[in-house]
Amino acid sequence: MPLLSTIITKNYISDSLLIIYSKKNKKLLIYSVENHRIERSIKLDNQIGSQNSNVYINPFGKMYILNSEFNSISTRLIDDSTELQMKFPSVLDSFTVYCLGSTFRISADSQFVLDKIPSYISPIENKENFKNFFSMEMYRTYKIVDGSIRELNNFGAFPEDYKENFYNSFSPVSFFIENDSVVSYIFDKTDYIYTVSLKTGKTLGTIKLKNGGFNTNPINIEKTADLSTAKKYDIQNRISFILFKDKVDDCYLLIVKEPIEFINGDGTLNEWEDAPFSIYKVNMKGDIIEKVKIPDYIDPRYCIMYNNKIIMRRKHSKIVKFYITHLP
Amino acid sequence: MKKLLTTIILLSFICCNMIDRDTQFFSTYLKSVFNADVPKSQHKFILVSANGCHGCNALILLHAMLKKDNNSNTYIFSSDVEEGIAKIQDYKNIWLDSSDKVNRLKFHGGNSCVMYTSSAKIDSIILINVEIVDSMLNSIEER
Repeated sequence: MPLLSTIITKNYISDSLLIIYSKKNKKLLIYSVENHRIERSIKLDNQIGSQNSNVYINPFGKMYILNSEFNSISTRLIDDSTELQMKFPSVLDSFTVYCLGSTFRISADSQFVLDKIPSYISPIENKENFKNFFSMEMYRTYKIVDGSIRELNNFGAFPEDYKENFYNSFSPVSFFIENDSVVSYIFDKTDYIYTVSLKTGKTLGTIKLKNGGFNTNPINIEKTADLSTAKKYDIQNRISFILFKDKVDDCYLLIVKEPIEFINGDGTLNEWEDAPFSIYKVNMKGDIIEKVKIPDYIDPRYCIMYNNKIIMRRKHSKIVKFYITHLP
Repeated sequence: MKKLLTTIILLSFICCNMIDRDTQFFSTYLKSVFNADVPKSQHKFILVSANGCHGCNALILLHAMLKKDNNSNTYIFSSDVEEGIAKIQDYKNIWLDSSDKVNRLKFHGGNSCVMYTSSAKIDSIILINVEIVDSMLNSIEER
């Protein structure tokens, strides 16, 4: 297994592939979890990863979306097979777009769905803008036509409460089911799992989580101007950040960051990686039927479901290692 | 009246004690990471967490590079910012924390802050506000 720590800055996983962004070489490296080797690399243009930029890679199928903040390039899509790089419509320049779930495929007619996240929306800055943002439909359908990306329609509503109250939550965590024709999603600080048809955009059902303590109180709007308040809020609350559907047991698996104190007694701050993580097994009635604590040596933030098992990454490992687990 | 006076004295004591504790904590940090002391003259430390707002951090770095001749301001970043600066040795006002402990200092609340010091003590701390970061940076250069 290669030593990758010196070149990894960001990475995400799609199916059995790990996508590594090499800032130094300005390349995307496609690493196979099954074969334990780099399968191929894609050279990026020199603009990407330039000074002060942060590149976010979101893979879906064999395509990768690159969001690069605070430099000259805009959001773009890279086709793994042709290495064609396509720019998104300029309206997205001020947003970070994310693919939904880890199993999304582009359809035969070159359509795909993404959600979008604003750079930062603070209700105190402009209450009307804030309300308008959360009144928009959060999913957007795109189509690739002659090597360029066209925007089609929007669908999917934010919870009603988001228009009035601030949860520092801009996008749901989603998982595609039923041959990618249906998406299930949950907002990170709420206790409802929604299921929506991608074909019609209509809600097919909702499940309320019972007895889990997932419904969080909003932040005091007057205190949202500084990021430290939002950070403290996220660290001190329970946050759902990955949703899977277990097809065998017909239940949801919700990966959750548990709450911890923001400031330690010694004057240091806690970050996400200091918090304990758990997997909640939720049946279709919303009952939490099992809770499993994720071992401390695992970083569940980069994980995938593969053959109905969850593949996670070990923490603090100089070598990229994976831990394959499934609930009892 | 007696009760009020006692409360005021007690609160002042607690407050001073907290500030002293913060100064002590920050002094230990400066000594262990940079072998430096909190200056006796008036000084400003701009503490930047790599885990904070990326846009703010980019602006603060740019600001630090433009104001490299201002000796009364010190910008402390974690080590990964080095990749963005060609010749870091040219910028005496930028200190890189190779231990990355700066990311975990409570003073900036996980984002960034301006810490005003004098007589080897912390006078005040102002969190950098994400919406007005540019004007805040300009104002600290003027003060």
